[in-house]
Amino acid sequence: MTEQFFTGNRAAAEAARLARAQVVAAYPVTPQTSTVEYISQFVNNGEMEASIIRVESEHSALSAVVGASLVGARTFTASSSQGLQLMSEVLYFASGMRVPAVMCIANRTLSMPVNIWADHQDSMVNRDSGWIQIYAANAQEVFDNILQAYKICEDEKVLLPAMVCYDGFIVSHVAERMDVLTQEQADMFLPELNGSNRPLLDPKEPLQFGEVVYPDWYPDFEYKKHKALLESRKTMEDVAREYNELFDRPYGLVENHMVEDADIVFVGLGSLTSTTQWTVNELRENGESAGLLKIRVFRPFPDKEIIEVCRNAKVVAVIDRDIGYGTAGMLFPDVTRALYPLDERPKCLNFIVGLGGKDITPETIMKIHKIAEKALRGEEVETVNWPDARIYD
Amino acid sequence: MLIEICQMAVMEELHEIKLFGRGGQGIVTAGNLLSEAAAHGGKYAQSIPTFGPERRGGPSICSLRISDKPILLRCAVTTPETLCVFDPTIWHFINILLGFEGEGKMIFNTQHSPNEIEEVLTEGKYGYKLTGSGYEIWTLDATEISTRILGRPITNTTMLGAFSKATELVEMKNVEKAIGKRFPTAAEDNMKAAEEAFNSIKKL
Repeated sequence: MTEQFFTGNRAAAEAARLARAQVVAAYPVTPQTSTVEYISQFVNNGEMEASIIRVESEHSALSAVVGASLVGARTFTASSSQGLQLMSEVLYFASGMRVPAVMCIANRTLSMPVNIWADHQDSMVNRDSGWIQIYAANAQEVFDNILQAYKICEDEKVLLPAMVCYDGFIVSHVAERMDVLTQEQADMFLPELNGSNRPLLDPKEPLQFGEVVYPDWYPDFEYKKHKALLESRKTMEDVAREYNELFDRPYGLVENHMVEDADIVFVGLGSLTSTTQWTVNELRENGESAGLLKIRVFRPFPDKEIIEVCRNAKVVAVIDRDIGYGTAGMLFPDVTRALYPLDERPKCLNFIVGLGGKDITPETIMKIHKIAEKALRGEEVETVNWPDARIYD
Repeated sequence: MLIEICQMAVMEELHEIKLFGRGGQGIVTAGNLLSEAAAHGGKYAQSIPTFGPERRGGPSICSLRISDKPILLRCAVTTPETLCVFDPTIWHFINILLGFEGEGKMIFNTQHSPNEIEEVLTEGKYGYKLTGSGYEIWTLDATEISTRILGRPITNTTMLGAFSKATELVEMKNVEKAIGKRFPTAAEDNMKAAEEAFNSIKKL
């Protein structure tokens, strides 16, 4: 293990190199671009043995990755924002053909108006594409999660693709101290992909992927895909345990901070959880009863872990860095659905913040806390709140 | 992976800094080099520029955090205790004292003395006023040093030496390491400029 000073994008490229990804296809889009630039450098310098397929669009990039994966290669791609939207059609092909591809997403909002900065709109609108979604809060987590994602996806009980998402610029372009595994350590954790656990394209034994399935059988396919994604959580826990045993870095499906006796629990994902953790510490110093539930794995959704923490809380403040126009944030309905079966439910509030890269500061979280406190006192508050937007009434 | 750290210990050891300059002067690079130099010295560091399609010549601001403990905050600095002004005129039209609570260090690239800078700032000539008494003003003519040694008025590496001397948050040997990694072919001149800044910066 060596200590390095890397950005989130560099961390992603290093993870792809150490995972010995064999085929990389991507199309440039801010703020993802430097990830694939680093990979091109590695390949050029002989530090990584991979074929880089140059393509004319993200649609083709993911199509190339799916093809390479179907002949048995370990693949890597990266995208953001509009690029991910252009991949959208192929996302469903990848999960439907049970391709264990890994993609990193440097989260950026969707136009219009044009904006290149971070929010989770791009990955959130693709949350139901059958991909595993993991959210990282810093460069170290980007690195660790990509390596773990390969092991999870390639498990024969899973065989699904995964996105590792992290905030554009605020994680992708901020350099920080992190530990990078040596090639020997990475190989020990992630053995060579042998492909024997799944059907592969082979001219000697012809197969067809992506066939037509008639209505009578279609639900069966969909159920199997859904079940595989739900059950991948078991593999995720095993992989995280093994990673921790080897490298002493623990990861959970969710990660909790000071939730045991908390009246108000903040729920969020991505780098905003780091600033929220800071603010929870501040609140605790001031004698307030607050805690943080950080969602690392968003798909499959960690119902059980969320119920376990939130059932004891009085107010659950779900922080969304995205908006489902006409309803609420996109994390909020999943949290409330998970809590619905409880006989006594906490009050659930939704906060839309940080859209289009608006800085999420301790003051932002304090504003959320103020509204949550009102609800705690039994006062009437809106369910969906926009604490950092100018509201023109 | 959540890192559990004691908030009081963190607050004491966290240094929040803002760098001011113009697009094209290498403010972003300076922020990265300073945080990397701090990391070489065993500290945690983070530099967050105002990212965007910035124009050459327009204002460019970079937030920098240096700490002995892991840094949880993921946002721009709002209450800096150290200000580092890379451009001799940028402070004429943007409020560099926004969030500065009158206590801490200010480093200016200017031909003027610390006394002259203090006078202008406390008078409020540019629409904002310096108050308080816990501040230190440091000045040097980094543009002159950069032009003479590097052949162009790009002050980013020169200012690293000034920052090291005034704040003592990064050591010169670690600045050298960071410069050497970033500019392998021009390390010697850039280091010479940083060293001259280290030796020539003056305090009020």
